[in-house]
Amino acid sequence: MESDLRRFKEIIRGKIKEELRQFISNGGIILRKSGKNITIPMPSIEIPTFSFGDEEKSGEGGASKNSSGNKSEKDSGQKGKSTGAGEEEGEHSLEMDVPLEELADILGEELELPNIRSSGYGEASNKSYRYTSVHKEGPNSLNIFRQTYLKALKRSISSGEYNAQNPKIIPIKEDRRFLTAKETFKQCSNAAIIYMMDVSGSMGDEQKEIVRLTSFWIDTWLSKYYKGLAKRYIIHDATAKEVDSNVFYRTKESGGTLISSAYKLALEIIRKNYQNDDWNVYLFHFSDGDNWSGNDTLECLKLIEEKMINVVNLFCYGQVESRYGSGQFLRELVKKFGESQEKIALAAIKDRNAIIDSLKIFLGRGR
Amino acid sequence: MSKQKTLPENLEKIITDLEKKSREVGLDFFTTIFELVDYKKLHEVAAYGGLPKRYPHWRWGMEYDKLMKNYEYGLATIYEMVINNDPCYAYLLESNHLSTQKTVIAHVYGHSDFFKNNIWFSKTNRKMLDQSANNASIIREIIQTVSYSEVEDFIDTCLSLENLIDPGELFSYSFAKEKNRDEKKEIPPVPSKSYLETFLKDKKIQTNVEIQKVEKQIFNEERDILKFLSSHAEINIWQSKILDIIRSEAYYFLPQRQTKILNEGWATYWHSKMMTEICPLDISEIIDYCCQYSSIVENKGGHINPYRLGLELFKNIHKKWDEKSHNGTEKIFEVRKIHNDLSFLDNFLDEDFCHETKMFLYDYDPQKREHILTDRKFKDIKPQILSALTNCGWPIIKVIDNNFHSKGELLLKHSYDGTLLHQGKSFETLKRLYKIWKKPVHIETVVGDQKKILSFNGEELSVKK
Repeated sequence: MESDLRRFKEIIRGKIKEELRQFISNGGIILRKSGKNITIPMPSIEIPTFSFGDEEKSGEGGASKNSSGNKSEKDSGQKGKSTGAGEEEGEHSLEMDVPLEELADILGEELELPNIRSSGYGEASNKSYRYTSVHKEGPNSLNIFRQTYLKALKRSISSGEYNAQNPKIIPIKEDRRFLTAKETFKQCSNAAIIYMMDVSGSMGDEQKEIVRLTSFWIDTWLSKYYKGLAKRYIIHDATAKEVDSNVFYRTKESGGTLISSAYKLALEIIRKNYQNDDWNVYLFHFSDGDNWSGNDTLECLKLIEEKMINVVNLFCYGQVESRYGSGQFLRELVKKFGESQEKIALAAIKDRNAIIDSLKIFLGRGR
Repeated sequence: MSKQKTLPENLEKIITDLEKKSREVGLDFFTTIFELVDYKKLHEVAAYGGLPKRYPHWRWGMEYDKLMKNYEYGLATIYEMVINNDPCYAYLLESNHLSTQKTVIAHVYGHSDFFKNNIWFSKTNRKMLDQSANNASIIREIIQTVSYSEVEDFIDTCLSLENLIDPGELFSYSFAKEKNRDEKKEIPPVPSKSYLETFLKDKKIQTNVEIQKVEKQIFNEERDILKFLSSHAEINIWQSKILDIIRSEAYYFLPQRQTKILNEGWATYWHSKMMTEICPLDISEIIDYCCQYSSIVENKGGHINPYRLGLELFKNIHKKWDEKSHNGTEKIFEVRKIHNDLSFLDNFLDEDFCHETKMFLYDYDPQKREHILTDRKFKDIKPQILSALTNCGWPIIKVIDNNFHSKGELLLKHSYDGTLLHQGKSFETLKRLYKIWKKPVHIETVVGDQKKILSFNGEELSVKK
């Protein structure tokens, strides 16, 4: 069985690899993340047979597409029938839960990413769960039958419902008991990622989506190496502020752009929280590169050269092409640092399909 | 099977006891051998479809993965596996509570009796445990001489056609017999010098990859498409061997698909009778028993519960025949002998039963985005159930022409009975059929409300009038 299981996993990996480029540029996959797994639809490994079925119902990818409300009358053959419940063998497209870690491995293999040489092993706490406590609410699979039954029995006896001749015990909602998880904290090695994004008027929804996708895959990859990931988000136009991830991906401002404001804020955050050598700090900055003034750009270069390089593992800049084209900032950075600085990775991200290439540049440094 | 663990003494005693009692009530079963296994082993056997040794294939791994997840998340529990074999083998989950073990053992005797006596099982291979292990080694051997990926690819192809068999064949011997044509040709091994051995091995490989001689006679029509392909398609001998193995295993499992309701109903009927009347459980065990029993017969959304439906029908038949002619017990023994699910329900599912057990039809309401009850009428419910059970819920498909267009193309025909084929899957299946037939393949069916022919010519798919 082990070899069959291995072969099956191999096939799944193969399929994911085949379609990795598509996954990376397709936002849908991220929405299917649940805890440490990601659910990937795998219709292609099903074994087809001549079988009954309504084309309409089994549209690829799931049900949402088909709920348009004009189901044909001819469905009768598909209707359920039952002794109480019903039969409708739902046409589930096959889905696989793939651990994020495995996805990271696949990403690494496919992009030939080097392992990260982390520079510090600090201590951060990492949540884990143990199912030890009992709660009144929970999913059926965690129902504790004995306790539930006992509660129901006690209740029925004390309320006088209980009839020894005809002992029917029917648990009601209040009787039910479920196992629940207790959070425990573990110490582990860690890293801090600071994402910075330009939210000035020229950064549209598509640009943000690219940033979102890129950072998802960065997270996935770094999570493979660091059990505790601290993530901070900075948005900036002419001024910078720290926000949470929701705001980060959704905000749109109309102001101009002063990149240095973000860099200063990032340095401030690092100084306050992650100065310690135990931290591996990663900085990712996304912008369309249209900085307001040459002076500010010069200041940015100075900040990077004099301050950032000393405190971070890696500084990455991704220039996302917007409707108004690409700005000068990337060119200035390349001119200044080029390939010479191991800690600096620079990429132009033209569109979604270029995400995979930028990942290779960013993560290919092995830092 | 050789490393059989000895059972604990108390379990041994329970088994002897239950066996005796089961025989006393009239159950007539094969010698039944119990084995205690841990959950991994049990799920492994379950993933293999009940046979502990199967040929290597990824889909067992997929099934295993699924079963293990369900088990680990507490969504489903398998208590035992019983194998239709003489002697009958049953695997018990080690961690079962003792009261559960008792129930399960009584349940197993019900299955074992059913395997032995139900007419649809009468021609199944009772040495399947050995046969499937042999099949596994034949396929492993083929992998040695061909290659893993080629064999895997071919098995995938065959599995797409696995349901194209003829239930009528269950009463002929043809599926049980092994094809011997290449074995016959094989020269008995002569003691040879070692340097000759590789040469002799090469010979063997050659016979395996040789393309088999094809019988080119005219025929009427054939529902056993796997048999047809195995003797009419221009495939290598190793491929034909694999096709035969897949076919014989498909026939082995067919009666189990045909009698799910009957078989589970029968076993549940007897285990409940045993545990509550004939050799009743200890009072301390009753609550665990009831809890488990209700989880077996409860209605779960999404499908008919065969345990419940079968059990209720058997109880109903017993009661009716007792009232009518005082021979309820005799009647249910007869029913378990001569019926399959389709005829069982056709004969005994009547209007009263339908209402007593509160059956209903439901459908998905896309406006409300939920499932709604649509109908409680007997005359609507029964045909639905019967049609779902017809041919195990598979479409009825035959080969009707092996020289279509006078170019040796293959034409299948789907006997349309009101339910459409899934077109996408049909096309995918045609592509795989083409891999075996190597000439254009067609299937006549109904699309929309018109007769159409779906085709694959090796390059493109088409739908024609």
